[in-house]
Amino acid sequence: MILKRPSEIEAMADAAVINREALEAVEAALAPGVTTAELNAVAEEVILRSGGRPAFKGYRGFPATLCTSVNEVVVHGIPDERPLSEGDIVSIDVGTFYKGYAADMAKTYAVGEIPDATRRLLDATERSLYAGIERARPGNRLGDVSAAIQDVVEEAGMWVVREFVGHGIGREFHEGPDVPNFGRAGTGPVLRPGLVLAIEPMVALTRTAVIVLDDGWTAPTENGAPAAHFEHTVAVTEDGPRILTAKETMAQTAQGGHDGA
Amino acid sequence: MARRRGGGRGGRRGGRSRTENRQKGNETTQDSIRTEGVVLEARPNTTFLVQLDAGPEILAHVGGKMRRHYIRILPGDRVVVEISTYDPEKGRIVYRK
Repeated sequence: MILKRPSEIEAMADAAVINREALEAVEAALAPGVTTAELNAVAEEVILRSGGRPAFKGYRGFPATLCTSVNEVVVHGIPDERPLSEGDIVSIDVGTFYKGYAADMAKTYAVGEIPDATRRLLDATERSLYAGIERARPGNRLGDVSAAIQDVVEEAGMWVVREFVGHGIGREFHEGPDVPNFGRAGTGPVLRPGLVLAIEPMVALTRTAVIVLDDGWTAPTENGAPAAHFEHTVAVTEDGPRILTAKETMAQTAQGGHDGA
Repeated sequence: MARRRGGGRGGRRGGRSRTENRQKGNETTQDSIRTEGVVLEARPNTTFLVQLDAGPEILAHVGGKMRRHYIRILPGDRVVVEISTYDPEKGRIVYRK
């Protein structure tokens, strides 16, 4: 668990701005018929133009700037030439290094019209992310964040993916501590100002294991259930959680007012 | 990008064919305590790290009855664990909630 000085958190906020802009560019390009490789090129262009470096590319051999995870793929899908079609959901995960610090963010998008159950999956996953962020305050424990996420997901009757977890982030892309999306309130390390976490609930529509394909990355649900993934890079500050990757100010998020998808 | 946890799927070994007529009755004796916990992690040889509700983490294997019925355990599951009074670090998973 590495605590960051305020100046370091500002540097991470700069990385987070580039990262968010890359994701927004992807969002604007998203449409039925577009391939995930094209989306990857869009994000990479934005990051490089802004003086950043794609954090995923080369990370343990990952070949791309984005993770593009379609439908039953939970995380770490590799962009390819397959076009997205109406009714798909696609999780876009992007990371940026800028001035030595990393930012990490993900969001699941609907391509055109999607079934109601899938829509509820996206809503519940995003709500669970903000419920977790809300608990990322000094004096709380890590388990408070995890339990808040799990509560929202299970209240909605969905399944928290256990095989992957959030993580600390800073000079390294993955730092301690692990941030599971399940756990018990009141357990785990105490959160302190200066800790920066990538909080990222991954949720499947039904109870399932998650497997990893032979490419070593692509992680689909074993039973084929659709899965969603929302992520922010969040700094724990004296004043509460600060979502570095969000556009809105802290005051707005403290009131629970985020703009959603 | 999410971090991958160790473990993954546990309990993939097949059940043993053991004759049904072991001693009558429950596996519970006066020498064990039953409690509940949450599976944190799958470990080698179908053992699991279980966080007990009371706090401590213990290493637990899957009970023979559960293996016989192919009940699979995943990290995150709530389970009932029997703990030996002789070694409070070790236990046996007897029920998956």
